[in-house]
Amino acid sequence: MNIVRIFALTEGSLYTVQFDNEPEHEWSRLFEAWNDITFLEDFFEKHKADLIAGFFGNIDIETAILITMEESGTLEKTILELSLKGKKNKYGALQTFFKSLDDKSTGIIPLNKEKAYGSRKKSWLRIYAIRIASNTYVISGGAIKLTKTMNEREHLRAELDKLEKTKQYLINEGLLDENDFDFLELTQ
Amino acid sequence: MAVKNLITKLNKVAIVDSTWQKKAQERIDNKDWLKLSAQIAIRVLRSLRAKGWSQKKLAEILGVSDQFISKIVKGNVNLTLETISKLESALMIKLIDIPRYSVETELENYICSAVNEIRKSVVTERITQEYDTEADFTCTAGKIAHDDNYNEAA
Repeated sequence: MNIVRIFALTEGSLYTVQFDNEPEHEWSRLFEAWNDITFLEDFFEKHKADLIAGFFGNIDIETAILITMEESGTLEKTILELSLKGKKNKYGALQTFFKSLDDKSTGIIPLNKEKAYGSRKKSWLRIYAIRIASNTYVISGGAIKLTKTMNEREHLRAELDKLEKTKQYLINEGLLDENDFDFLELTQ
Repeated sequence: MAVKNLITKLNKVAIVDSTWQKKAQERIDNKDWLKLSAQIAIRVLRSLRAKGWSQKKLAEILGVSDQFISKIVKGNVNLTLETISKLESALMIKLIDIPRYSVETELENYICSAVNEIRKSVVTERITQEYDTEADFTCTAGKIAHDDNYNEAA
């Protein structure tokens, strides 16, 4: 699985990649899937044990599908609005919505791996991205995360791999100069 | 490399895609009927799973193409009443149910919403004056005749 193209969803702020095993870019693939009942019914049926394990309460597959659809709409709208708003106001930038993938990390790390959550308190929706600047992110993928860690399920391990591939792609394209990145980030 | 330069470089290699914004807007504009379509799709898929039927089998029973069933179960088809009725018969399930209409209930709902509006403005005024936050003035249909507060406010 390799990256074949990079797309600008909002020029200057929101980008996404397309992998060679997918017919469309990640952003499009995610929101199509999260609005496709066949995909969602199949997914929740396969991961039924994780869904009803307790963390999300007493929830059936029908409700889980409807929640996913509802939340994906809010998530899509929020990220789009921030990508536009953040161009004018740094306090409304995408970085206010994304968090570091590694919960323990502090400070600004070049090409940091980050995540965004759905709107509910216990949301299972995740968008994964590489941070370039406060309002410049490259979406590497996303997933429905029903387990505590990403290493527990194959589809989540694949997302970790995609994050790393996206980071390497940006480095290979010369989109990072590690020597002065920290300084420029702190002074912009 | 300045962040500005990074973005300029990124823009040189990136292909601009504005089609997804159109798709997102379509989902927002059609949100209400797409939700109904999704609920029907879920019910159809769950019924197929329970019966152990394939989508192909359902297509054969209904005399439609496999592709049409595939679109229905994705949840983004603006279904006709005819299609819904055929699906209900084939799967022996109920997909839509129209609540029984009652003029009295509609009238009660109408009066209640008007009364609630009046009470809201009265309570807001009272809270402003007395900081009284404990009063419950909510009116619901079917409760009017027994609701003393309604008589007071009316």
